[in-house]
Amino acid sequence: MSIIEFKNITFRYESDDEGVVLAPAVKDFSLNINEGDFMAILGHNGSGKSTLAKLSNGLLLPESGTVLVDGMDTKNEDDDIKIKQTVGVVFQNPDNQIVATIVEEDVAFGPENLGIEPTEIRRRVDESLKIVGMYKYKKHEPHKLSGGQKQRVAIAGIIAMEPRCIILDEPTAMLDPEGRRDVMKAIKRLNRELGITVVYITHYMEEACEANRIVVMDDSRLLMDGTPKEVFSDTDKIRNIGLDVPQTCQLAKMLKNDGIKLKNDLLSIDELVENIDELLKGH
Amino acid sequence: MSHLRTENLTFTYGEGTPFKITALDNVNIELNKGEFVAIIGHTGSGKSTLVQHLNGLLKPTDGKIFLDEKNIHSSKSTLFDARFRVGLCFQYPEYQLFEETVYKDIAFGPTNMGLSKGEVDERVRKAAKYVGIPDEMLSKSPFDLSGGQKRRVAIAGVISMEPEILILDEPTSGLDPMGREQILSLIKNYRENTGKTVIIVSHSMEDVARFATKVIVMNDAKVEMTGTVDDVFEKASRLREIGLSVPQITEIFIKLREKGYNVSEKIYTVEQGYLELKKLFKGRGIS
Repeated sequence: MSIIEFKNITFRYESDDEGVVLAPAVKDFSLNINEGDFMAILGHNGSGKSTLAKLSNGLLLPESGTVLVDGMDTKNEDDDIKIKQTVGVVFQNPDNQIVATIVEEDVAFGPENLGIEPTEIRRRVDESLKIVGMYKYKKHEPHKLSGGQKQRVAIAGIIAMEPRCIILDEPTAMLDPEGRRDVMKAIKRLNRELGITVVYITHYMEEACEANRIVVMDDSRLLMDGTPKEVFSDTDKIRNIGLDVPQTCQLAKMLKNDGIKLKNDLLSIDELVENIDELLKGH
Repeated sequence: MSHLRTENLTFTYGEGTPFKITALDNVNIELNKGEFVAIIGHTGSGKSTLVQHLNGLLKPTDGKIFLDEKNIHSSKSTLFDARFRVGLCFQYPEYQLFEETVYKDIAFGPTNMGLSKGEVDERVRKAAKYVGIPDEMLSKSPFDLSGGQKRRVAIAGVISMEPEILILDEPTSGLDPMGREQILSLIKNYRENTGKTVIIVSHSMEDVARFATKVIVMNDAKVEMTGTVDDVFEKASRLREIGLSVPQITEIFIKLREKGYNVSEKIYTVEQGYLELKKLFKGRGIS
């Protein structure tokens, strides 16, 4: 079942002061996001990824076409709160998303605004902070946390609203390797243990490999849609639009071009090492 | 003689309050002319605080900074000197563009240096060319440019001052792979063509492996290690302990060695990995 459906949507930002009409940021775009998906969205800067994130829960409305969230049209104002409860968005910069001076109060902000009763808020805040591994910091001041910790607090704030789908727009772009690993771990738990649909926008190809489905955008349109193995096996197509493939795929491709008979769909380090080992055994 | 060095550099935020944090703790680093230095370390390890000391933006709580063996805080003129000779480009510099046109923004630094109009003009055009900003874009408002273009304009604003030491704090963060590649190659070209010293703060181990001639690893306000790419990345397990990583390609070779294959562990780029594996396959009669 689809949780979000984009049906032939086009969106363009308002023209500037001089009245120059801008090109559409998303053009005739259709996509179904299924309940339970862990989808990564790739594309170079300006390809329309962030616009798509904002269109998916009514932060922006399409110029033409329809966005349905669990069957509700984002253009229908009466459903606005329900839609935002169903789909939550986490943005790139953690500093722009923290509103309170104590971690647990920040996480409580969303459910408070939904008018949920205090005992239930307490339960949700504790639960959410545990999921992202930030429970022991609940009394801390958010501005003193590291980037990765702040981002996990921001994610907890969204989880506390109990959405069925979370969209994350480059949540690790400003983080160090450890911060990236921790955020990724939290997101995988949301998807695998809680069954929350995850849409993950990123520039890190290694992170995209963790998804079960990758959508590649180029020039405001959908270019590819498949499993990580399907998408990254087309090294040339990915590189032609200015993206990269994981280093394992690059290496495998170079060796295969030389006639070494590696498998076609090697993605992880272990898969590649395993395959090299198989080829060399007995030689 | 070192070009730039620090001596027991210590910096604390909130001295005399209960919130005192030591951001730098007895840091000693030494840089030579023409080096391409990468500073790595987890968030909060002190990288940005360190680079902000190198051109005198922050004043050390304790310790000294020497530029060509002159203490930069010894007088007003030495500090002034350091500001111009050491150019610092902050993280997300595109948020600091402020002028009406790209031209004026790039010209801001050299104008403040007191150069003549003709010299300023020459430098603006040269810097813009370096970063790949075409002439017709110079009259545009910087706010009409794309993120990657803005980033390059901001870098041009520092390059136009022709600093002897160019420092960039995470110059590629938030950019897509192509944007990242453009920025890195322009930095590389700048260094090769001018022979100037470049320092970058980076979270990308892959980029560090490809470009740096010296790596400084920061951990909890201290220098954890200093050395060549080889020296640093061969300590993979220690790097992981302090919240860093080694390039993906390096992991492949660590695992092959664990399986008993006699391959080099000093593999940090895809190109090196390819050559090493070719050798391995060839040695076993597969090619």
